[in-house]
Amino acid sequence: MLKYILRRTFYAVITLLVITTLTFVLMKALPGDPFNDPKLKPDVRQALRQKYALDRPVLQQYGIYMSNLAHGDLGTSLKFPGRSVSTIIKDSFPKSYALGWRAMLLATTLGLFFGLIAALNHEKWIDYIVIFIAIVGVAVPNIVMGPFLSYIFGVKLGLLPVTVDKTSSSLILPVITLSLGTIAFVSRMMRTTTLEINGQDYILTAKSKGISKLQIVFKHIIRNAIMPVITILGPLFAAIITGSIVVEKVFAVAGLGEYFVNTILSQDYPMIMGITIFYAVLIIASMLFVDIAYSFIDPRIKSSIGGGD
Amino acid sequence: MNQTMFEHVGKNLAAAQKIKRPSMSYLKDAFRRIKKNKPAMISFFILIFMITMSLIGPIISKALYGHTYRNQDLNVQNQTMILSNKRSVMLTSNTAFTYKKYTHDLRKTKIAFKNIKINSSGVLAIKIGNKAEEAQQGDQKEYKIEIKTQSGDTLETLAEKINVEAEKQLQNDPDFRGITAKASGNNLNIESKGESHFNTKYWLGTDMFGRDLFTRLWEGGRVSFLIAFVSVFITTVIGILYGGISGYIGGKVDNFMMRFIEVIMVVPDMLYIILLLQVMRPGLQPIIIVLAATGWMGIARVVRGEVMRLKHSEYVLAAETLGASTKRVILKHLIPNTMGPIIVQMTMMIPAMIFTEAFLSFIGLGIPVPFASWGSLINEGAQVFVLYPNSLLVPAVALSLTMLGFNILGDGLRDALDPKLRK
Repeated sequence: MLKYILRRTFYAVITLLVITTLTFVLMKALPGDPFNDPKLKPDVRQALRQKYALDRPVLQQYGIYMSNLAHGDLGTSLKFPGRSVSTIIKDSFPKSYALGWRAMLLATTLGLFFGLIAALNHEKWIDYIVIFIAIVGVAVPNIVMGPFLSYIFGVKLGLLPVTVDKTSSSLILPVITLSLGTIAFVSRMMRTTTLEINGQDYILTAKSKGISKLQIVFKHIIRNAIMPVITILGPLFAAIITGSIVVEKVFAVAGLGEYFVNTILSQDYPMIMGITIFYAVLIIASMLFVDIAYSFIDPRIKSSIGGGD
Repeated sequence: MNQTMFEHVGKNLAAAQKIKRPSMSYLKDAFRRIKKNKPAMISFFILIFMITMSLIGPIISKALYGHTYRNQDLNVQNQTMILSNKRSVMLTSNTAFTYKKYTHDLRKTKIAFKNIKINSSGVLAIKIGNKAEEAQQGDQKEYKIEIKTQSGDTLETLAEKINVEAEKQLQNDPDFRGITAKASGNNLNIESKGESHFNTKYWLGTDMFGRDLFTRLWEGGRVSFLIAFVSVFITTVIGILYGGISGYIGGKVDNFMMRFIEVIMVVPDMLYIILLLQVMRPGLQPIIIVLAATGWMGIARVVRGEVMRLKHSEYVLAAETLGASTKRVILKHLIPNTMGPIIVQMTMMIPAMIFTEAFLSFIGLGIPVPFASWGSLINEGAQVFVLYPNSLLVPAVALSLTMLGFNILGDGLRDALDPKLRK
């Protein structure tokens, strides 16, 4: 077990190294340096270059860059001079987080529920409705769903606000938009695994022992069907994060995702790199967490580790 | 009936060995199975339609009306699919009544007053038509209707007065097309009359610069399909090579190559794509390169798994015994036999690529203006969709149908190519 955890952590660190190095290489590949602004006085530029060690050899720069990263220093924004990337992230991330955890919660609970009832009512109308939702969720991307939902519920019916403010009702539309794709994915997966488990011998045994249907569902089906779904929680988290970039732009959330899009448009390189690294760390950490948690939940994983396919 | 009617022909060994029906190859068998799958076939025809229209759509509209994806005509901004010559109705001055609420529809062709209280004497003036707003669809005329209220007027008589006045205007100038006022309870609705007809010159309407949406939709389809097909093709080649080598050689090399994929697959490709696109100028080529560079891992894994499974089969052993080189075994024996899962994977990757391209265009890293792609059309449409929903709906429907088509077709192909996987 410990060996497994150590190995996973090792991979996570390697991944982190890959993405930060890639970021550094790309930053070097960009034309010019961040302080090429002709309005800057030569001595100021020199001071800035010295501060960020741009006058030293590349390898040394890499070392400084990495140690800065390790200390949580992601550089300074070009668009908002004087504001560091970390403070911008610190200011804007809570809004994205408020959106993200709600979407994650809604997506997993609804997805599991839909998948379960669809499988238990196999080839009945509930099943077909869930399949339909799953297909729509996969086929209609959130860049379409967001404007569409805000048109129907915000503009036509006037029920819900189309931009996010401090009220919690303004979060309803963005959370639904953000979670729809994930709901589709989770319910589809849950449906397949539940169908598989329904045909297992131990379910037949439980039935013939005369256990009530409800007990079979809660004690045998859900416990087993939920396992594979847990493995995809990490990728789901990643999907919510990238989806959040679109949704925050559509609903004007003013969170990290919207900042990200704006910095891309204004070509604020340090910000883009900084936010990317932040996202990467978040995702890598969550994947690692899910992997480790899974190995605790399902003891079978120990025997299959390292065996490959 | 007796024995003399029959003739003994004896055994014909040559005829018995003859294969009378065409042999069922793997692909033929798969094709026979997928023909029975109705959703997959419908998706297939939808996709054929989308691809054909992307190829010929811009040619049609250019031949008929001379539209191109970049021709701007500011006189025809934001037209819809159905044109209506209803004039807008606007309240200019009102001392005739007080009201609680005032609403109008999207194009202000209908206005409604709620909870009206009539004053004993006052003037109500309505302007019909608006020169500035009608630049796109009307003949730029403005009319005015004015009525006076007296004591004892009810809402019904007020509406009647407006109708009479409108009828008079219509007698003088048929171009006026008329308005109707209707009282119901405490409310008053005023609506202008007119005819609607299909937009014959701009079939799907125009965008905010007066560019033909039909042309731009299919021009965008060309770009989206091109990006998806080319990048999926490149990814498949890289994936087959990487996965094939990794799976065939096995051992430490395989272990290292697979760990490498595992390491880079942890972070979603979107982040790599955004990072890589920072250094390249936005355009068709960079997007294809970046999509191909970040998308090959999935297919490499699939190929590697298949190769691992197949490399111990008898025909590979036979080929090796006969002295076939590694290259020959991989290219001639292993890869052709992994084609099934590869085709399925490719079909599933195309919508993913289209979606990624749309996402990139949406956040401003996609195809530069004035070129169109479905993502950039959706992005443009989303900015004006409250007033002109068609500019969002048209590309959105096209994109969603295509995504749906590829997903259902991919599911169908998986069932057809590998019946063992069917669930």
